[in-house]
Amino acid sequence: MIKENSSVKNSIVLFITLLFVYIILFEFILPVNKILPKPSLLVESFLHIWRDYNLIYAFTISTTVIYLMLMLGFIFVYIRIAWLMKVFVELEAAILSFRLFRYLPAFFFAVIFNLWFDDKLLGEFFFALLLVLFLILKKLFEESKNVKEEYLLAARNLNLTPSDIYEDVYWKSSLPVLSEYIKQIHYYLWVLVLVYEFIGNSYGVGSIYRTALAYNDFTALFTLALMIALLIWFGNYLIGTIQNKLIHWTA
Amino acid sequence: MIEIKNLSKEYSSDIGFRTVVLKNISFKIPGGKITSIIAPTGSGKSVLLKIISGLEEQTSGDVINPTEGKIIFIPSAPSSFPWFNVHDNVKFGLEKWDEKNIKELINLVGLEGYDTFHPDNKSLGFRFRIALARSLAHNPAVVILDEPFNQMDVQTKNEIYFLIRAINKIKNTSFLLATTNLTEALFLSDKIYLMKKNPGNIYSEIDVDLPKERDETTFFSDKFSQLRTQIENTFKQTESQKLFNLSI
Repeated sequence: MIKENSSVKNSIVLFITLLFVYIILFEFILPVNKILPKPSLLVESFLHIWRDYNLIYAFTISTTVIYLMLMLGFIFVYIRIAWLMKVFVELEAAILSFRLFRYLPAFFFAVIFNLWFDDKLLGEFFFALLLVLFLILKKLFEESKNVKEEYLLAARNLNLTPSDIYEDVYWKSSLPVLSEYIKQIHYYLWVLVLVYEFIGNSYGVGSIYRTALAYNDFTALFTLALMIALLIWFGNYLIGTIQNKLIHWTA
Repeated sequence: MIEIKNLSKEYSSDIGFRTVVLKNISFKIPGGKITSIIAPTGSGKSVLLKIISGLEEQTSGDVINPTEGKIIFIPSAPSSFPWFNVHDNVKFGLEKWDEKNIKELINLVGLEGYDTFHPDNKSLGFRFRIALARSLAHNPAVVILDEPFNQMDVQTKNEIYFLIRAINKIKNTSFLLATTNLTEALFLSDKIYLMKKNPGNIYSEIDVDLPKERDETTFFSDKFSQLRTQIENTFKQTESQKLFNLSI
């Protein structure tokens, strides 16, 4: 706990120092440059994108897609764990042969989904949900190989059904690793949803990026990046808090 | 009483090599008593215990359990689930349970007041007590303990020795313990089987005629020393016999 507090303190000190250097350097010493925008321009830009790019609506779409699908994906796996594990055990070889596709960049799927779905928003929800499910299941199947033998022996010895063993042992034993992995999925999801929206150019923060890029609005791009960073940090904090409240054990 | 008859276990490798782990093992686990198997490491103790518990298939032979009770296996590593609290661990695997009974079992193993505690980050002794209470909740025909004291400190070991003896006395529960430690086997058991390796087989049976009530002084009694010497000599004879067989 002391180490964690000290790390947070160090981060805050570093952030304030960098902010101070940024303001001094780019507001007063190098106000005209091609590296970073003037701090005062960022404030102006925020008000401008709020008004001209319909910022609230775009952020509502992007964050809803990301967090709703993250939650739905996790709940679906939790409810259907026994069935999913049975399928995995029976079709392990066939499922593992899909590893062939791991070299395809996720960017490719963002393009394909944009082409498949005329309704871009529906496509975005599907794209995010499938991505979450794929990543959670991949991790769950990997983790199922690491469940301690003594837990499985105890459960089998007490005549539990395979479904009960999947729910009470495999799932619970994998949860600490899985919940940690959710944070990583959260990062991937932000990037890939933005890419999807950027390609689709219809909804969300990704489409604002595209418009701002078309107008060479460097300050708007920079302001958006800061706001997204803030949201990712908050999302991460939220996931971490839920994780700390619900998952107290290590497998 | 549970009877093990001509039990054998063989493994075949992918390239066709056959390894005989257990060969024609026969012995009896008397009801209401503590039985130990003393065997060197790698003799197939764990395989034998898993077969008796139904967790592994034998190549041939039978495990005859005429009672209605289950054979409960407690592995050497802690098997209480860290995601359940003590109470939920104890009722794990039961379709119906009596809350009063669960409470009594928790108290019996010395975890009174710890019902809502989770076993993660708790000592091996704490986790073993939970596994013990869980096994008792199933009204077992026999509780099988696979080298349970391996990594416990001396104090915890002693506490658990007395706990097992007490449970045996109060609930008349049968235990089968596999160990490499002669002292703990002697202190705990009413009957000891000696097992050799390559292939695993029972070659001697010893009735431990120490008093039923045992305490710290039991370790220093003459009878304890005599039995210890007797078992050590049997071991030595078997080893020298093996060397003799090799030399001719």
